[in-house]
Amino acid sequence: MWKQVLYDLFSYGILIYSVTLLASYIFIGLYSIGETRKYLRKSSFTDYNLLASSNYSPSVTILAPAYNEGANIIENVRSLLSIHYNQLELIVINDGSKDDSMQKLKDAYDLEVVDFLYHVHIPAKEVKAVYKSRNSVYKKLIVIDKVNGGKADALNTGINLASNQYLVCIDVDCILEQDALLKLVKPFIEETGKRVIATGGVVRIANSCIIQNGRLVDVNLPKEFLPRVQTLEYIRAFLLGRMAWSRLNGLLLISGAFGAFDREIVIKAGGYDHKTVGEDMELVVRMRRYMEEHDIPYKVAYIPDPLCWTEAPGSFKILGRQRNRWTRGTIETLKIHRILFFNPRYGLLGMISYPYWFFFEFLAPIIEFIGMIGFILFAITGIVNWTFFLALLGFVLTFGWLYSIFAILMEVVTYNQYKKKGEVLKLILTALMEPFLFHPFVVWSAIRGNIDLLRKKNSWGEMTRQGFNLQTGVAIEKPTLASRLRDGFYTWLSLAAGWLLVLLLLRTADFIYNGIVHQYPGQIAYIFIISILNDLVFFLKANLVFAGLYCLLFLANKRIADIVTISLSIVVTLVSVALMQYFSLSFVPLGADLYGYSMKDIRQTAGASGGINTGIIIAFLSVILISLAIYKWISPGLSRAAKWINLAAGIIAITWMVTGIFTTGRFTIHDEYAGNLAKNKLNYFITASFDHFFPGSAETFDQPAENSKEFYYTDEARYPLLHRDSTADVLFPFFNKDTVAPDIVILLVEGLGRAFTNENAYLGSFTPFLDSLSKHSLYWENFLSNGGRTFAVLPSLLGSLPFGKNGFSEFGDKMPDHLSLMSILKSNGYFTSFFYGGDAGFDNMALFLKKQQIDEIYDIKTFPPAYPLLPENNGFSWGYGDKELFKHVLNKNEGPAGHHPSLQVVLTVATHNPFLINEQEHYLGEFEQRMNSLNFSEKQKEEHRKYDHQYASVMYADDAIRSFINNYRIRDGFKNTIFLITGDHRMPEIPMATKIDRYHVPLIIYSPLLKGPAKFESISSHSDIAPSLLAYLKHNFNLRVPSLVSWVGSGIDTAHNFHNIHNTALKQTKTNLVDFIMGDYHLNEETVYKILKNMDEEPDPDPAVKARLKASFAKFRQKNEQIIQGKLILPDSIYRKFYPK
Amino acid sequence: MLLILLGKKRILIKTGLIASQLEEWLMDVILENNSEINHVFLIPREIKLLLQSKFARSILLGELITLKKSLSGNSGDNLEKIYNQLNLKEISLKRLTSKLWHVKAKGIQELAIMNQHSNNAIILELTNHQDHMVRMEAQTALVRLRGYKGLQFFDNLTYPLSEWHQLNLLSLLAHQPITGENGIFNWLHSSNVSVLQFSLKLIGEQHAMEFHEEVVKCLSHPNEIVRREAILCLAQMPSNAAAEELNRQFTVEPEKNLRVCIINEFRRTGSDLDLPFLQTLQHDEDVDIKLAANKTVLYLQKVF
Repeated sequence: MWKQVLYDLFSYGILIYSVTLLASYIFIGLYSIGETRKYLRKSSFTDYNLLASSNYSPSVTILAPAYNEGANIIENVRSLLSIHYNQLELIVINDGSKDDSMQKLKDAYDLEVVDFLYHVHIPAKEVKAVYKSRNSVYKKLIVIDKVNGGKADALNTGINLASNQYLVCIDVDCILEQDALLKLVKPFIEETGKRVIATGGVVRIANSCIIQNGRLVDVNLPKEFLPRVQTLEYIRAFLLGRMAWSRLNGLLLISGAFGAFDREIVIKAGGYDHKTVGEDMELVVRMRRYMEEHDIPYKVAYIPDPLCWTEAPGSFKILGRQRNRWTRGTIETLKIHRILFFNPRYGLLGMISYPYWFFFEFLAPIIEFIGMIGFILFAITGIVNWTFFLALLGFVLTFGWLYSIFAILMEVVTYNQYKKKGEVLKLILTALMEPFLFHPFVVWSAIRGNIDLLRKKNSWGEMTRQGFNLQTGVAIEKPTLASRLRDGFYTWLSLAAGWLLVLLLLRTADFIYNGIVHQYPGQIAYIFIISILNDLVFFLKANLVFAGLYCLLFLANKRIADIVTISLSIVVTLVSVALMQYFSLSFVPLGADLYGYSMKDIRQTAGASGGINTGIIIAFLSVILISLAIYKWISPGLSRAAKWINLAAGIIAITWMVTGIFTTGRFTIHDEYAGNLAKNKLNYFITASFDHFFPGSAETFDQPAENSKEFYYTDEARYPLLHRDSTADVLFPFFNKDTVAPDIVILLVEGLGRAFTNENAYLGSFTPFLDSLSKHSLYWENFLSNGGRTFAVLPSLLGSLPFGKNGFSEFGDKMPDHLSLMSILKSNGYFTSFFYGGDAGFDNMALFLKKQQIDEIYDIKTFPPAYPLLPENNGFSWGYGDKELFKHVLNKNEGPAGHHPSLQVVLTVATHNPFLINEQEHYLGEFEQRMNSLNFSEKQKEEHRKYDHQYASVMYADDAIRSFINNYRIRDGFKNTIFLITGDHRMPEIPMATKIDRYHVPLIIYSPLLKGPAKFESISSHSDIAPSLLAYLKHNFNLRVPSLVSWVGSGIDTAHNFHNIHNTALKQTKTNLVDFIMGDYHLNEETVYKILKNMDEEPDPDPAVKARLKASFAKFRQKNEQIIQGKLILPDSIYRKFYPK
Repeated sequence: MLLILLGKKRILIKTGLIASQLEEWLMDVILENNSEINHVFLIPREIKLLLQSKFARSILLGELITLKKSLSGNSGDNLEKIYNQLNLKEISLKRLTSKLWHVKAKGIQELAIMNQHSNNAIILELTNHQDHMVRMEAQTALVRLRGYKGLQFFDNLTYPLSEWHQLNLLSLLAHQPITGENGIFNWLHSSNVSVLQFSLKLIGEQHAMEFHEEVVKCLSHPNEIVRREAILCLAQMPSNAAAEELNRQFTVEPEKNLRVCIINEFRRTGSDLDLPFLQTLQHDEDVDIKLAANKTVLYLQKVF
């Protein structure tokens, strides 16, 4: 519940944020249109050349800071000097360059030191000298040589020395449009009511453009992806975003590459802040703040003309640094001016601009990153509502693409810079790729910016400012937290690549091993590929955890990170091996059913099945040694390819997961064995365990649940299961009339599945006696057990009871009051007993039976000493074989006094894993003979021999039943005895063909009282037995049976033709309730199968059918849950009346 | 998006096609040598047919305006004549009635460029239009058409002139000497500060010494902008009288920025006689005044 609430809060929080953000984008997009159109129309009436030559044009000082720009400084300065503007001054500030920039300038422009008078309005680093040219051609040029202090400091020095009214700050390597300065200056003089304090223009990407003599002569769309996607980004930002903000007069940022400022206001505001890396934004915010605080009407203007061209980072490394710096700059500025936040005193600046930057520029990458992490966590834990997620993802992606395409459209209809053939199409394609190839990196860089800023806080005193090289991205930085994390991450990637190799080797070995020991599945290549894909999904999930753990430990110490993480990965691998071994023995992957057993049960099951043996120990040691060898010798060699290996594995895994969502059922493997083989066992175990401990809220459906045979519930609110008993007595037509209530013997044969017993068994019948017996009996060939394991058989068959949480018996001492076939018969005078070759404490069987007030329980402890136990495996034995068990049954009922009438329930154990029986060799021989008599081909024989122990144990059980029935025949009570023979579930240790195969068992009702044999193809289940038997006994022998009952079954169907009238829930393991039968359909988890006549299945994609099944299943689960929560099964009055005294 | 792009492309192609069809004929028109005022140009049949389309007439008008902006003399006159002959004024006048500011402004611009005096009254009305672009185009058009007389709109101007627009108007009047008859005395007493500012720029630009006294009066104007403009204006009329006035103004000027401005302007008006005064300012407490004085002293010492 809490998990769902958390998920809902998270997902709807993200949704609301996204919708707000997208709404602001829509507003920005639309709002910018009008402003751009107006500007373009205005421009058509404007002759900018007037500004260049007029004496009344405002005076301008260009400030061009330079650091180590020696390579191009001469050309760049020449380009700036060529700007035609009457009232111009060009100040080049050499910010303590370590190269020969200064000397080159001196030589090229014939510079000499001059006495330059200026006032230090803004503190800045020491000026070493001021130069002017001896050549009057360069009279506009002033060169300042100063001590290095960074870009902001250099600009402050320039501001101090500037003598003109307006300052144009420019990156010296920028390429300006011919009329850029004129266009930038004009806004200062066209406003009448407000003071324009700054203007900015569009910066465009110059990569791949042709530049000659400092002039842009041919515009090209960048050929490389990174600069191209930045071109798109700039178009979006400059043409839409800033234009809209300009219209609102809410612009907070003038690009540092090219912007103009009112010098007086700059000085009054205090100039550039050299403590921040976002000095351009910080200055604009401070100037605006100054104007607001002094109540001076002002404007920050912006023009959409492309004015300045600059080279964009061409590598992720440089780009990452740039975005990192932008992020830090934004945060620093927001922090410095936090007083503005929703402060009405600052008007639009405080109420809109600042909050927008805070929520949608600063927080956006953080929220996106958290969203991504949250999504991964929720995906791993399986609570993602995929429909909602995919709809949201689709919406966001589509919006992003449309917004980009809109920006491209705006570009085309306005400035149309990229008019060469195919360039617009390339831009559109770039927009389509951006969310996958570029945006995540930008988000990550922003996150790193945040981390770096936090780091800087802690080591403020150690910060060494690097000057301009921060801008160009060639600085040698001290290792930051982010860089350490990155190093850790890359190191882990190498190890992860090695681990992936281990997992793939393990999968291959497991596949081959299962193939040899059991059988290779059909479509072997397909199943193997699916197996690998499932392993990659597990690898992806595990890798996320390990990568995080490794990186964190790496910060402390690489060696610790190596030891801990490698050890953990080996442990995980070993657990995988153990689970593979479990599957290999049981043919079902271990899930949360583990938690449904007591430690004693687990020890017994694992021990008896040979869980720990020499083979597995060797396998464990091999895995450890191979893993260590790979980590030591192969992982380092994979370091270069590691990121690509991991990336490929991740992409394949994600694609596979997404494919699974989109193609529900398309890749489902319908063969039970193959499907289980292909599963990643550890992934399955973890997922099942998580679901067990953190169950999701119950599903509810609008669609009403269907009951094929409606129960008339009398008081559903208090007694969810209580209904009027309407079970028809369908058995009496098959029995001769008698006056004495019959003895009833119920034989529950461990693992007896229809797959290998009786006519038409698809694996061939290995029960010759039962085959012949069924021909003299009432025989249901399509009967179902209600559980996939033994835990369910007694409560279902004897009590027609719900499952509870982990099986009804697991209620233990808190078992709710109920009635059963056994307790009702006992209250009607029956003597009741239970016989079991093993320990009756297993699965709480004894507890359950005692609750029925059973008269006698005979289990392992009650056998005479002379009886031989089943052979031991690893020192464990289940108990006594079936022959000993039946002998025990007969012995306990010896004598003429006997107990009549009686109900004897016998549960066998010999057909349980490890299938070791006394007379093993004999029955292996019988098995061989049986194959011959079944006319098996050699190939069939070979396949069957892989499970020879299983088949031999089945033949042994059949033989034991033969002896039992034959011995019973000579007893007095035989003529008045009804035998019910069924399997508790289908033995899973022989591969299963379908999902329903696990439950497919025979039901044979044999009795001398029968009028004759009959065979039924209709489907019924164990939970239908008690209602039908009681209906028969009530109507024919006047037994006292309650009219209000709580049976979950509605009685055995005696229709001869194949059909199903029941709604039956089937519990696969103690913790796994995922199967439901209704009509001809079987719901298994999310897949619906149509049940065919031979109990084969085929997927049915009809969503309406699925909805109906899910609704009815949900109804059952709801009632089951109500019982778990403490609702009563029966009213006390009924219980007391029919419960044995 | 595709539709917009295709639409745009279609218009571009159509425009290019029409322009190319007109090109040769327009060259003939430009180059035709005639002096008759009412000369009638021969219009080829295919051009006549083409110009039956409104779109083609609009393209032709655009071409004529573009050419007229860069041509003068006989060629320019020919363009005006063909404009009149084809009654393209009809389009311009229709544009004048548009509610869209840019269409209206375009109409005004076309009439002005094509020297259409008969619509001056309508344009005059638009000089006080609420949209500043329409207003500016109308004002520019009147000055273009009537020179100083066009500035008659100053009399009723309720909106300020932006500095950019002042620059525009100054450029239009640059080669037309100013006289007292032009109403400049009135403008120097205008309540519209921007009109005053423009007038002072005009005087300064033309070094119109005859308005010296009026300019000096402006030094005591309550508005700082006017005083600054008056200082700059005087500095552009170098004379002993101007220097004296600036000197005097320095002592009475309350605004520091303007005092700094006066010191800076000494570089244009000053002489070695002003050095002692400036040298006293080198010791002023205010760093800006001191810096300005230092720079000016240095400059004057270099020059004299």
